[in-house]
Amino acid sequence: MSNAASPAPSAFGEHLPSFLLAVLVIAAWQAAAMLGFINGHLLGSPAGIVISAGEGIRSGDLISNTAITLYETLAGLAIGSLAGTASGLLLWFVPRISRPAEGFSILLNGVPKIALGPLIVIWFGSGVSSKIWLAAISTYAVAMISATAAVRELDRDLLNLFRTLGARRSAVLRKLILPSALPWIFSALRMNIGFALIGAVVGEYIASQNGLGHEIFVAGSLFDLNTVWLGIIVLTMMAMLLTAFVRLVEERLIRWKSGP
Amino acid sequence: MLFAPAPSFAAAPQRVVIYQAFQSLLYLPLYVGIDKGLFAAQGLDVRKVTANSGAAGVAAVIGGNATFSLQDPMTAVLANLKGADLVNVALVVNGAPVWLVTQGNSKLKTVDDLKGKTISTAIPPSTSTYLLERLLKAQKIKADLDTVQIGTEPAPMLAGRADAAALYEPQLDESLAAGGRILYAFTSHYPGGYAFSTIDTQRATVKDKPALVQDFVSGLAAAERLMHRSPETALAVAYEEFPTLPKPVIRAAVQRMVTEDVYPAGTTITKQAFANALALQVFVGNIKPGEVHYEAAVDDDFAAKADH
Amino acid sequence: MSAAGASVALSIRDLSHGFIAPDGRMRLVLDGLRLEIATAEIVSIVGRSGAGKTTLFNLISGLLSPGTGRIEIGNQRGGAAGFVAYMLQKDLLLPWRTVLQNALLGLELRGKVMARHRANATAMLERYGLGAHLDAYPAALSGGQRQRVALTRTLLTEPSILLLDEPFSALDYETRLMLEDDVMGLRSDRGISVILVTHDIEEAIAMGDRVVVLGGRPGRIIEDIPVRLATAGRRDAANAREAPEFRAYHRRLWAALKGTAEAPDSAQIPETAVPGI
Repeated sequence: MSNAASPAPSAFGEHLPSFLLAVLVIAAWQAAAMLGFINGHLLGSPAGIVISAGEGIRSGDLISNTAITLYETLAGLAIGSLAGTASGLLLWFVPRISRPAEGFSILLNGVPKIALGPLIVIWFGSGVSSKIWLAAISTYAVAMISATAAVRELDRDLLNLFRTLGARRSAVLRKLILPSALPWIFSALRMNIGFALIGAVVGEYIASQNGLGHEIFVAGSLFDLNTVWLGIIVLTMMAMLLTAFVRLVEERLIRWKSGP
Repeated sequence: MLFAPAPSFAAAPQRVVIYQAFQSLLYLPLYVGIDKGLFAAQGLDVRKVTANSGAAGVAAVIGGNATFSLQDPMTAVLANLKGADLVNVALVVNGAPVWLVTQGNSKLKTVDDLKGKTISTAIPPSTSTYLLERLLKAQKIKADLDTVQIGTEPAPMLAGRADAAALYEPQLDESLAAGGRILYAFTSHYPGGYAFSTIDTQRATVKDKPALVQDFVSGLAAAERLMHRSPETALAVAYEEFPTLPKPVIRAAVQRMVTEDVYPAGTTITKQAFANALALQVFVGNIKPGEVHYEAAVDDDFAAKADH
Repeated sequence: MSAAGASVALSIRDLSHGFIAPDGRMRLVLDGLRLEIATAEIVSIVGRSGAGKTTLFNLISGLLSPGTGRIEIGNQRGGAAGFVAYMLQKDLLLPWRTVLQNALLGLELRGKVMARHRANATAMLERYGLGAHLDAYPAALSGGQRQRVALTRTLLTEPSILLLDEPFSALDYETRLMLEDDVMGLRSDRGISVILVTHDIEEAIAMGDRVVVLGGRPGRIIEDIPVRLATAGRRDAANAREAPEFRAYHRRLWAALKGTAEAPDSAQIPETAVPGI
């Protein structure tokens, strides 16, 4: 709909200002470190971070640690989301315990998962399983509450229509409840990416042999701030990529949302 | 503001903040100094803050939130390598108070039996873990390490996931009380001393406020002498500071550490003690050989005056 | 019995229905209704708010079970059992299904969808002018188009009775006339009976062979008026409203409605559907 006089802004053009700002900040930081305004050794500097990254890639440690944390996050996210969504949706089959169960899960969600960390590590050891459990627990409640809300928001008249058309409960679940809950499920998933990541990283802080959280923790204790920054940057990129991926899948599956 | 060069009881005591890495039985000399008024006698009102890690304590000193910190001297040394300027001034924990323990019914008898087994130890950087790694390498033993939060090392062993554990006190005496057995004691291997935990401060503080630093070290030295003269006094302070630990465990632990000189008789950090601690960090690879020197890292003038 | 020997599609006898009020007493919503609907007949039911229209709707559709009395549904022309299908103001289309998939929903829930079902559905959709939109999603359609898809879905299950709850009131006038024509065409094409529950007296007269007035508290059938309009040519939604008798029917029905006492506290009678199944 743009006329020839003013072309529509491209995606590149939209992001250019924030990109330039980021470059400016990095340049200022590096300059401050080089000129001695801040202690680049103690507080880290962009150049130092790049060097750390290079070493990490060469030794393979950065890649393997990233892979481990990614694995823990995805596994925990998958388990927590599946279990939570299934619980929320299936409770529709047993409405009598749906209300108290939802109340219970809200209570559960109120417990700070970080506080459960040491407990879980003692139960499950310092390997990847404790991190996956922590990530799963962190994501379960949100997934369940979302799914329960999706079911409750379902149009009563649609439900009645299915009933009068003679649909069995399993057909209602498959053809009505599940598709209508998809938008809710996806928004919960997007939220849960952050929670799963936090769960995995906190687990690694508490006890681990490897992973990005472990790397950040140890580097912090050794005053290697560049590696700390590197870890933080990689974690952030991981979160962003996962979110973008989920959005992509969401758009594919929920094509019908776009109207005229 | 109100500062008298010599301890003056008329002036108000000067407030001093010290960050300790943990609230630990190993740091009893500090608690004796505070609880028995030995710092107060030097005109100091000492407040301790628990930092939850050695690095956090050192960071507090660098940032100016604390005058002193108490932790592994190597933490301050590592910070110096990154451009900080800290110096170690007094010894608080001597020897290497780390023990390898198994459960009473375990079949393990010697260190060699650890081949192929799992040992639970504190998540690095922890001196206990480094000592263990070096021991295993020296004896050419391959074992799996289950790294957990410091203080929870017995848990995997009790849960059956580990065959042995590398412990500090009071976990050692807690395990022994529960029927455990010592497989190996690191304490007996450093006759020249081992700078395990020390007091450090900024070099600028040493330059600008030498009397303050001297008062603190003197108070600490008095506490250490008191502990050796009267272990019962040390024990009483320990009971107060750790009300949730069973008294028999505290008694056994404190007696052990007094006898084995883990609580040092004086505050001086000797060259040998420092070198032993440094060697471990070089082994692990955190510090390169020749990178660090005793003269730059330690200022023993204050300890020398305080120990007389 | 009904007129001219035509068979009975729906028979309501001595129907009463009520609910337990918060104070524990039984409140009667409908009292002793008696109504018969013949095959291929269109009957409009009008009444003021609170007269029990919605309760009657839910009883006929099967969402509620009658307190006392009977609702009987006659067999279809071929001998198959008759049943009631309904349409609401909401089209109840599933947004994640295409137009064609939505149309096939009723059949799908009853059994497998065969190729002939698909062909049938496509033909019907084409007849309603939706041939180009078979793969579109409901969000892309106008309100009128969506109601036509809903109508297709409803008709594909081959009901004998179509029960309508003001399905066209949210649409613009022209579209509404079009859809009214669609419905009126059904009885000649397929022999389907239509029960139209509505607020709108004009629509009731334009579409109905009879208009039944529900009124009073509890609701009873006050009037049952056959509608005869002299139209130019076959009656349709537009020329019905032009017929000379139209205004007279309107006055009569309006008077009948005004004469019925409005339920003093219509909020007390629950009009929401409570599934009895």
